[in-house]
Amino acid sequence: MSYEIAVLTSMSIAILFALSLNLITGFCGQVSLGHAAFYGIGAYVAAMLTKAGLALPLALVPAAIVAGVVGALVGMASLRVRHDFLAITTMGVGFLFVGIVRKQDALGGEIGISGIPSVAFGRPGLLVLAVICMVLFILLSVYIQRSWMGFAFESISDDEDTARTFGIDVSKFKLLAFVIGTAGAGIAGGLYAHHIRFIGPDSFGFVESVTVLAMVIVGGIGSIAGVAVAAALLSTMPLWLQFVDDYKLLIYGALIFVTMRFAPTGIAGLVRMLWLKRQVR
Amino acid sequence: MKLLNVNNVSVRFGGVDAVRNVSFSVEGEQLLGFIGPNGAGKTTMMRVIMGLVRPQQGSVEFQGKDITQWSIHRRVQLGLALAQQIVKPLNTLTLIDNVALAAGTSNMRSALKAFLSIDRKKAHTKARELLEFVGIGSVADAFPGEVPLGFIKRMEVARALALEPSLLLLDEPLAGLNQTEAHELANLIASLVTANRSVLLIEHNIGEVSRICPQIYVQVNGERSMLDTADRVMASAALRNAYLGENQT
Repeated sequence: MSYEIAVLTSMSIAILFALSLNLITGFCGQVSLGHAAFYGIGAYVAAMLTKAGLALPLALVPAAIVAGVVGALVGMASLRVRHDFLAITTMGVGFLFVGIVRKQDALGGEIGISGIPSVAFGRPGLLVLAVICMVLFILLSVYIQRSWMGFAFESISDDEDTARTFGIDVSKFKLLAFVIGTAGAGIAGGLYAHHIRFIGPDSFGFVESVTVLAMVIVGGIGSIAGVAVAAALLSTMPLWLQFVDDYKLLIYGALIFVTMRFAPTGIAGLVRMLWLKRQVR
Repeated sequence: MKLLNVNNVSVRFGGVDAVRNVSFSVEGEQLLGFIGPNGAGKTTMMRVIMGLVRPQQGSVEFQGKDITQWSIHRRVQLGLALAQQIVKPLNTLTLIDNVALAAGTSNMRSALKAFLSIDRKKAHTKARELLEFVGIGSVADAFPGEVPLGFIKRMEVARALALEPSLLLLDEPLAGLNQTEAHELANLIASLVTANRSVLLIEHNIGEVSRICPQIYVQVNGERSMLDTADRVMASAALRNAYLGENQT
């Protein structure tokens, strides 16, 4: 039973993490290759606070706030550039995070932080907390998609110059997507730290950023259901198949390539196409 | 008071002067034609007014406010709207959603308002009315890729109208249309001028401009050539010289 609980917890955290990137990349069209940095910020903040005696549900709040504030600062500096330039800039942020954490003794340096306390009610308690956070983020995503904020994000994602001529403050909405997305990643990171109970700088490197991007692309950029399904599948794949864990970057990189080349709308697009074909018949 | 004042505007791209020391104005309830041969700097001037290009010299005043340094969205909120020469519809949205997005722009003035606003019915109703008004109500639910250019041009006009502008900038709306389509769209443009709305129409189709615009502003090689009534502009030697060369009659 404990194995199933661990798998479900991993899955819930991965869905939350992937949906947080989906809000930035899927809804608002801003590619980020350094999303794991914000996952890491949330993990470090929550781990240090729970080690200091704070309960995890409370520690997740500052984890989200710190990740969101750093996201805002990074966003203000990097959202002026677009497309591939933004991807490269955010990739730099990811490397910067790992580089800084490695040199900070207060953050455990290369060794990282171990002995992260377990949450109340143990593993089942963490699963419940992870599922609650995941469901709340799914609901938030659905709500945003239906609101005028989602409409603004969609127009920016499609063509930000045209969005400007509609009177939309593009910079503000892009920054907002970045803040909400990075705060979501912070919560996911906080949960991850208490799931694994050990974190080090390499847990939040480029591989993690590519992994979460693969979840968004394979699921279907912008699709909440598609990204959730892809995150659930890709997060558990290394548990079923050992070689996936060994060749993670290679396999996820190949998945991104194959999806973009042959099915750019991802799982969500394929399901929609099959559904429409069935309707036509 | 003038609705729009362009004062001594100059724009340089690298070593090329696209616009040189240009001044003109648009009054309330006016349809002003804006013509000039290729390379006259018409589109650059339009982009300066809209804020897509910042001038190196001069100023733009709109509704009595100096908007030279304003961002595009603030200009739109003050009452400017642009229908672009190369229409860029949002291809993932239907025509009605493209227009509804502009019709509901007040819902996106602040992040909080955008977050709290869910209802799209009002914007959709307004968008459908506007699509009917510009004559493409029957394809409101189609995607931009599914309809011909003439329809997209009309959608662009509807989209600009949805912003409820006091000055509508139209950048070559007739380009790429056949004679019948151009004639019909020109008639529509002429009907857009109201007590609360002026139109600045950039066009290459001089025949249609002179037919619908009481006044015409002519720009040549980035400089102001003349601003006068359509009859006087059409009869002027300056216009013939601009389009045909100095010694032509």
